[in-house]
Amino acid sequence: MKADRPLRLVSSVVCLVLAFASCTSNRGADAPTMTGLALEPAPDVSALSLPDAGNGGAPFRTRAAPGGLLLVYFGYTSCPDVCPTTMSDLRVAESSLTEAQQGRVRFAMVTIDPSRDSDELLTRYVRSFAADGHALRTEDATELRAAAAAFGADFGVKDGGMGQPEVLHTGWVYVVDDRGRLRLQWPFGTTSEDMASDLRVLLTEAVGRA
Amino acid sequence: MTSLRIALAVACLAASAGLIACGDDGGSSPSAVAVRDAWARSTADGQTAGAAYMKITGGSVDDRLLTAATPSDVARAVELHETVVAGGGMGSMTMRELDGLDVPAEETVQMSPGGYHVMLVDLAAPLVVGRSFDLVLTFANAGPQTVRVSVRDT
Repeated sequence: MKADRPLRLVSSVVCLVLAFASCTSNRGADAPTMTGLALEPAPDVSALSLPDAGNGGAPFRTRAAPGGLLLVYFGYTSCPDVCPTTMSDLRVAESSLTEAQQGRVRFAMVTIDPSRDSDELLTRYVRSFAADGHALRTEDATELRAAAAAFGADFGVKDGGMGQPEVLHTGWVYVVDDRGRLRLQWPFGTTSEDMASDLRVLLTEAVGRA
Repeated sequence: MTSLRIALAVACLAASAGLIACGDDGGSSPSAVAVRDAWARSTADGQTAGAAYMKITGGSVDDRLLTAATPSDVARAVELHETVVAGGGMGSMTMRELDGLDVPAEETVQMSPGGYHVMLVDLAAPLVVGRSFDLVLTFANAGPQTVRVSVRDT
């Protein structure tokens, strides 16, 4: 049945996650269950920095503030379907947290299409989803590729000739803690309830550690 | 997943029931398609492309959605797209432009986030919650159908 299609897409991604998860779920039985995929050991992205277009291009390190979480997304502003869907889900997830929790979660989006996404455009776009969000943009293709690789993200922008450029990107949201460890990643299609639940677990853990 | 599938099946059944009810009114031709729940997500500041989603239920004969169009004060161009998982792993997603979308008789084709969608290229103005706009869908058999698309957040 045709109506199954988006579901099949989600389920294939979920199967992928489960396949990964079964290899990595060797932690204690009392650990709270999270929906997102956790790689072990958690990749270290603390050394990475990208220019923050909303802050005059000042280097922004992909590491959360103490006790907080940083959500990182690789996308582009002319993305009609996947990015706005994910942004909307993230916004719903964040709004279901307490005000204190919301204050500890920051959002950063890295444009994978810097030739079309100007500093100004990207900043407006990011801030319309998250007023305190970070708009990360580099024109250095090597730097962008290295940043994406550190998160395990892939992307590609192919000139579409007369038509729209053909854009490919990993539709995951990455959750980074205050030590700059990539703690969790959510595939496209993760519900806002699951995101919120995972965020609560990680935020509670950060309080316990502080 | 099973419960989702059941929910979808029920939705399809409900859709077919709705179609039959419409048929009882008289007026509609045997090849009529029914388009319901047409919506577009509101756009962010600076977002130049949008997407519209809907449920299309086929009439008594197989049909095919050929094109979609909006007035130029909504978007410069409109394309039919499908979001697909690209090869090569890492959860890469991309969009494929479709030259049409089959709508089998009495089946419901769902256009929804992460799947089939109507892409609005070069929006003339941001899509604002509470507003709506016309979308003309042209089918091979049913011909042009004007659908009112409402703008929502989710």
